[in-house]
Formats: sequence, structure tokens, C-alpha cells
Amino acid sequence: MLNLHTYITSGEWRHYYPEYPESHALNFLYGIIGCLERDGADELQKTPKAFIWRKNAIVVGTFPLVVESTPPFHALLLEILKRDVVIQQFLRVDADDNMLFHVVAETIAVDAPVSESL
Amino acid sequence: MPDPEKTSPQPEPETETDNPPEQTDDFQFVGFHGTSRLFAQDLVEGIFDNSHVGTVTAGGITSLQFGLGLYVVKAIGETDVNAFGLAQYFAFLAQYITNRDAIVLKVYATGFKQMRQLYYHGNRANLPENYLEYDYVEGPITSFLDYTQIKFNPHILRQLRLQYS
Repeated sequence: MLNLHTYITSGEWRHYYPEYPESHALNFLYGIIGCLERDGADELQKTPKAFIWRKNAIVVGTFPLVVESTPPFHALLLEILKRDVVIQQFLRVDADDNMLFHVVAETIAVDAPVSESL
Repeated sequence: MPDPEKTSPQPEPETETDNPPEQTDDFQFVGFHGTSRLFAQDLVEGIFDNSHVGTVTAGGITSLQFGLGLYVVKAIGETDVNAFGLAQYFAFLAQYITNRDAIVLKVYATGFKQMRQLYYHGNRANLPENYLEYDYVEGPITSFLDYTQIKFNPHILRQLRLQYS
């Protein structure tokens, strides 16, 4: 069993995105998701200028978005939640505001083995 | 879980207050390198090894598109906020992986204009086998195609000087 941090840093998730084999934007977004777990956040918000994560409505982390990615970060984050069944157990998009995301578990255990080749 | 000792504020090295080095025709600013506190001081002191180049090479979360070496976001000047901001993404990842502060370093090179360049627009799988025969590989940054990366090959790293920004 692996934890979420190990899953993220392993890069095991890359197989969900065969069309983006070396996407720095995906690396960054998985790093953001990892920070939610690390910082005990319960909410992530995407604004035009930043990612902001909070715990009990108090900001515990931010990252300013100086440069937009292609595809855009927000579209990629929604794609992660569509494709990655591990991340789906941890993070969900708000039903009414797709710029807002809720952490639904403090952490998760991952069954999938990490490829030895990584 | 994060180690509290690793996440507590670190004393700032004296070198962070250094003035930018004087630039000449043979010594020029190239761009920014995003890394973490774990590696920054060694890089500023000119210590390069495989644990430093590529920021963090062990994790599958990083993409070494142009192979091993030191990756730099090319900038049009030291005040290029977009290039600096892009380097912050890479510093952020290094911070997450190492659990140490994110650091963006300025990169200067001696003899940059005379270095042998391979321009490459592709992924790692198709990188030409002879890429290490060049001094650096230059090309678009995946996901940020309006921006350019320069990956200095290991044999040329001694001609670089890195400084805190």
C-alpha cells in the first residue's frame, strides 16, 4: 500500500495522460494536490491569478499563476478528476462552482504498485 | 509527514545579498533555474552532480525532456517576470519533493555565444543520441510553448555561475 505522496512523486499517474507524456503542467498540478494532503487542506480554489488552498476557511497555501499553461491549468485539473481514480478518492470538484475543489479524505492508501522502471 | 525541522525558516546565506555580477561580452545572464533549498547553496558554490542537475531526478514527477543537465528558463533579462514566474513552477515542484524552501536562482554563463547549441523541439524519447556532444540543448518548454528552456550539458557546467535572485 502506498500513500498519496508516494503515488504523486512516483509519476505512476502518467499512464492516464498518454497524449501529454512530459507535461510540466500536470507535474505542477499533482504537486498542488500533494500540498493539499501535506498541509491538511480541505479546499482548493482556482482563481485567474492563483491557486489557493484552505483549512477550515483559513488560507494555508497559495501559488501565484504568472504564466498560463497549454492546455490551461483549470481544464487539466478537471481532466485529472475525470481520469485518475486515485485522485478521485481524494479531491472532488464543487457541484456549483467548478473553480472550487473539496478534499474528501485526509489522505488515501493506493493499491496500485509503482512500476519499477520509474 | 513533513519534518518540522525541514520546513522551519532557514537562515539566509550571505551570498543572497550579493550584487549581480558585472556582465561582459563574454559573461552574460541567461535565465532562471528553479530548485529547492536542499540544492541551492551547492549550485551557487559551483557544485554540480547528478543529484542537483535536473533539480530532482529521482522522482517520476519531474520531466527531463532533454536528458541530464542543468535546466534554465531562458529570459530576456534579469527583470523578465514571466520567465522568473515560470521558474517558480519548477522551484515549487522541487520544494514539494524535497520538503525544503523553493528557490529561484539566476544563471550566468561564460562564453555562452561560443557554445555549441542543439535546437530541439520534441520529447525525450526522440532526443538525438549525440545530444551530449553539444554544450547545450535549447527548445520550447512542454506545456509552456511560448517559453524556451536551455539545458546545459554536464561537461559545460563549470562555465556557469548561479546566484540567488
